[in-house]
Amino acid sequence: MRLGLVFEGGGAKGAYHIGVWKAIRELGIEKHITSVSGTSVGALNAAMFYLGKFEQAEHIWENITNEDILNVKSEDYLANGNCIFSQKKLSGIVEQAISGEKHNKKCDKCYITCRSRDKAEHRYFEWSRYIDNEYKKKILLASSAIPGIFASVEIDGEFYVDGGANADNTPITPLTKDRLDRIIIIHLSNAKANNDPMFIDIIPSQDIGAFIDGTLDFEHSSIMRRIELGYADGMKILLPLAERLCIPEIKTKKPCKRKTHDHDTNKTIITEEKEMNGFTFTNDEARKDYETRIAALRSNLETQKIDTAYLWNETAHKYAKNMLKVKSLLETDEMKQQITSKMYKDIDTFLSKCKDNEFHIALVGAIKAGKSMLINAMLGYEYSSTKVTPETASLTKFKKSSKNYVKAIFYSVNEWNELWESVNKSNAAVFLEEYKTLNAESIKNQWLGHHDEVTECETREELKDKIYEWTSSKSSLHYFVKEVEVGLKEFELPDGVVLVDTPGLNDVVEYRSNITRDYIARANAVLVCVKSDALNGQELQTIINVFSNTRYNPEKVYVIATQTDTLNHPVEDWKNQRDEWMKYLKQKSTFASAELAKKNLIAVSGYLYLLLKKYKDLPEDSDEYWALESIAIKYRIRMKEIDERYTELLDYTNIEMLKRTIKNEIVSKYEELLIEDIKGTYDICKESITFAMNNIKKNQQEIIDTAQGGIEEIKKKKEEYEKKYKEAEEDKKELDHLIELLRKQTSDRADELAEQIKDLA
Amino acid sequence: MMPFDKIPHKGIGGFVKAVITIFKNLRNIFKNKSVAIGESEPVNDKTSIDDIDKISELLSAYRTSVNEVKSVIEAKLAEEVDYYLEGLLMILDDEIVNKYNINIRWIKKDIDSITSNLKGLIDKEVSGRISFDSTDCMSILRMLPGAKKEKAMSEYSERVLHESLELCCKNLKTNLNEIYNDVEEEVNNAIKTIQNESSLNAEAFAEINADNYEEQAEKCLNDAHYLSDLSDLIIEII
Repeated sequence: MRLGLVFEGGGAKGAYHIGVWKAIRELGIEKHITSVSGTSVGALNAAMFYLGKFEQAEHIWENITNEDILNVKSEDYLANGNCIFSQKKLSGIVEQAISGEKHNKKCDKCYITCRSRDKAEHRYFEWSRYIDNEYKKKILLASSAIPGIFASVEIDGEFYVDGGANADNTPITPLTKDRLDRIIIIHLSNAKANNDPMFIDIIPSQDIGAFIDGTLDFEHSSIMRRIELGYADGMKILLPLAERLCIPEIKTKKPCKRKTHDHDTNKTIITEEKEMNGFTFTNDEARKDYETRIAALRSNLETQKIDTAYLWNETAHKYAKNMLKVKSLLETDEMKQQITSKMYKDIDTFLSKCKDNEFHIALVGAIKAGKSMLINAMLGYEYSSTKVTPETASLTKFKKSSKNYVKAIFYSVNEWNELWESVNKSNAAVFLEEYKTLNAESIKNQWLGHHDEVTECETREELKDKIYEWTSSKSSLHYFVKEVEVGLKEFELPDGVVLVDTPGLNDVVEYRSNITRDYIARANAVLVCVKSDALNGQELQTIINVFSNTRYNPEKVYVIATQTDTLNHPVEDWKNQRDEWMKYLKQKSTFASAELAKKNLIAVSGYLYLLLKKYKDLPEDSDEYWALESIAIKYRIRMKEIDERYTELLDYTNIEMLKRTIKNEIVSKYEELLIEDIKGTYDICKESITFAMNNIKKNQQEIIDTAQGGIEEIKKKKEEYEKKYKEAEEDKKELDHLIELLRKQTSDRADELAEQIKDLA
Repeated sequence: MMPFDKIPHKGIGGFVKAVITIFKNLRNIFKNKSVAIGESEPVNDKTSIDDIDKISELLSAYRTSVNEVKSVIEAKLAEEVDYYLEGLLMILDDEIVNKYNINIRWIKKDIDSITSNLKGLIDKEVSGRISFDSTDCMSILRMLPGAKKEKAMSEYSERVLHESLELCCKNLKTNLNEIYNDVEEEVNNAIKTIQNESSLNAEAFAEINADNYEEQAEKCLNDAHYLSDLSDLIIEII
């Protein structure tokens, strides 16, 4: 999109422009502004915008003082031609503002408005056209010369003063001929907004002063307030429009020379075509066709909807949005033929990376280690069964969703065969006996390879029942369930977190333990649940086993000492236990660092947390009420003190602290890694797409040159293309052959290598 | 295009030589470590936490030995992988790359990712398999102390090491094969694009003759400008 920007005049109130300009930059709109126009102080800011000197403009405005502008001494006043402002100082500021190189490559034009001192007319100078810096400086000084305050300035033999004074303080007019799509106007007064959709008016939402307390008020605090207001107003108005305003401009072509052949004289005539908004058409139909195609592209880009799956992170969203736009353009009929399938494949890989924002947290623990209770505490409801018998034979994943649902995924026949082989190999007698007792074989064929079963649930109770139905070891069905996914509307962990209850590493069936192993290796974090009393050999073994599966990343393991409420004196007892545990957890086979062990060892009480969550609704004669009372006493808190010391007791559970750790350490860390990966992949795609586009442009330029070169040149080129086609055919055969030979050579070498290694045995 | 017979063929590189030396050294080290395992008390449900800790340290020692030689294996592996890249880049020389606009920069990146995938593979295998978490290893750890236990552990650790190296070679072969497939696809696509482009361009010009030059040339220009504009737009968005 081609945008214009108008800076209204208003002396010290011009600080407001800087705030809006900052918003324009941050929203990425700056690079779409191709023309600017300004009067008075707006002229100075417009010139700096044209030159791309935001930092300098900000610096000037933030450091300007009344003393820099006003003549406080009477001799200065007289020397300045009876004007209250110092032209000399302003001249210095202008000099500073326009010196140096132009950084803004996109902005083509800058117009400055001045009023003739002696005639009732004003002039729009196309400031960007002039090369002489002194002349340009004079125009800016003239535009700021408020009659009676600054002296008038002579340009081309005529005296000019402030363009805003009885002339055009909001100079939109010069921009109207620049074929702009929209014009943004930064007002410095309480102007009425234009009704024309062409204009976007940014009007100060708060009073920024009149003449004395505004135009002449260069006090630092006032300047800063106006900059802040400009930024806030700019953001408020432009943020909702930013996406539309940032649609890239579709450039039209430059005038071109064309060769034609005159048959009568047998000469080639070179005609230079007149500029008609760039590329010219001699026939209307061709022009219409071109314009229709360009309009279709615009419409395609403007109406494109973005999948909500990309919205989890601003950066991922930004990159995905760009890539989707590019993809839709690459899929146009004309472009499709020019693009390789690998490019589409790379784009799709990139887009799937932008969607993949899940952070998997696996929970591992021995039987009765309080794993299910911990999950329930983190989810804020008792979804997982906490019965004595082990209930988790499959992976159960909990994640945030727009609706409550339970999805059961079943083993395929092949997977079941592998599992069964593992059952026999591990001689899992208990498993075989229960399988027989529940007569599971009779329903096996019904469920193996079955499609996923999804059940939507209205209430939490329904969800709980459904989870139990698929996972309970009392049901014959659970043998065939490979995974259960639970979508929760109310999910108290950060977006993207998937909490995974695993069958553990000590499952009687090795196949199922292997599923856990694989999951631990891939998960972003692993919470190993161990009961918080004295650590025994078996528990240490479980902890070590988890580390064996995460060898390269001990940081991702958190040892969770559970059920602290079961200790006699939870606070003191855990303190002692902790020192004991640390002896083992700092060793090489675990955290290999005392510091890391200290940080990643967390003691919790899921049970107490859940009791406290529902404490207000507990009937006084209920078991849970009595349980709460007896636990609270261990923390030296009487039941009648619970209301008062509720937060203290809740803090003892450490569940909120664990949730914060998940958010601040696990999610943030992996989000950063994910974004880095997305950026890296985007750069690779960008490189190959730009490479391909430049090649297409090169080829199209060849066609343009040939088409303009006359009929003979076209014939010659046509023959060249045919030759090129045949050559490519030959080269393809040879390259195929070479790659195949290299592949074979490599394969042989790799085999030879493997053979030699085999021989070592 | 570099003729195939001109591409220098190297024999099996330094990787195997290095691996053989390292393997022999590690085999000896593992044998020594197995002495301590052979003397350890059997692991069962009642093993004390201190004994578990002690045995775990003995198992860690195997991993430490692998870690000590890891950098040598990795450097040799990188050399080996570079050799394949060399071969590919010789075939896809500048002339071919420029002629067909083949983008080869990603090949280097892919080859680098192979090296990083293979790095640590042996270490990971040893960590996972010489541990309490491995059923095979556990069956040895459950044995009563003595020469039989020591022999079993020595043989087992050597097997793990050997199988890890085999896995390393297998992965190297699979990964390289994937790269060849990608290169083949890229080359085929690039040539196909050029052919397609040549054929489309020739077709467009085929319809132009002296009688319809103005009209047809305009159409050609129209299409070319459109595609060029579209390319600009894509570059700007990306």
